[in-house]
Amino acid sequence: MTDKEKYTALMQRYFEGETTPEEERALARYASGADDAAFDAVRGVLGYLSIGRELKARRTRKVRLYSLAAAAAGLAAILALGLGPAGGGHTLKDNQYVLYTYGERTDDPELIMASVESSLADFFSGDTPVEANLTEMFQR
Amino acid sequence: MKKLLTCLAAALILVSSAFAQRGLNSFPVFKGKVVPNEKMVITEARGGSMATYKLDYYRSVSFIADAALAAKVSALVEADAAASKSVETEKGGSFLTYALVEPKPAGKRNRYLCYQARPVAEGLWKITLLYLEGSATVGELKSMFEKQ
Repeated sequence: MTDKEKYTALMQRYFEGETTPEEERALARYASGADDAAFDAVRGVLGYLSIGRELKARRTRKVRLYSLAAAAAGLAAILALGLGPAGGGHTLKDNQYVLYTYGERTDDPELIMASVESSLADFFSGDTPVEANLTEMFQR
Repeated sequence: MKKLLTCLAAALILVSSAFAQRGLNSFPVFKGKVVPNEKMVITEARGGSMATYKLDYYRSVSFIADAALAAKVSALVEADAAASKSVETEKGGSFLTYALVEPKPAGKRNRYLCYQARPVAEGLWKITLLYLEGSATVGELKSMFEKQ
């Protein structure tokens, strides 16, 4: 049996829907290389199907890329909203001050800035904690 | 496709900057994950009068801790100190009582993590943690608050 006879038989089985995917791939390979009008029909059908498969694959890739971008954007939004610069839950706008004393909120800028100044002085005044503790003890 | 790639790139930049902000081991303490927010005094300030100190952002948390909690928090600060640009620490025995940690800058802004533990009663400590961002250097901050 020649190749042409073998693939003609395969083509007939293909049109009857009796071929396996592997046989279809073999038929497509043969038909695409054969310069024979007898295989025009199968070339047309297989070409049409392969174009369809390529389009489907492109759509899938596109959907996957959009899903990835959406997931990354969502993650970014969650992180940006959930984490302030200090990693706190309360992200402030410019010129905003807030003080929570055991859950109670205060927005008084003067009070808050006094607390900020006192804390900064505590750390940057040059007193070691031991010195600071002694100072506190003698001030009492 | 270009729009898609731009969108993806923007999303990735946002994600990476969010992670850069997050990058401190002591982050959970500021976030109220170690001590509940209701049991802390939390101060946060951005912009405005903070410019006096060449700072853009300030956040502090303070709370009372027993020895175990104090050790847990100081371990987080020590982990940040190990990965920092510069650090000043003070210990009482093996216990960390003071730390001034300068993590790597976030862009052009300097960042500071300050830790202090002061005894308030037998077995209890007042822990204060500060996180600062701004253009101020340690030297500038020290000279601003230096005792006359």
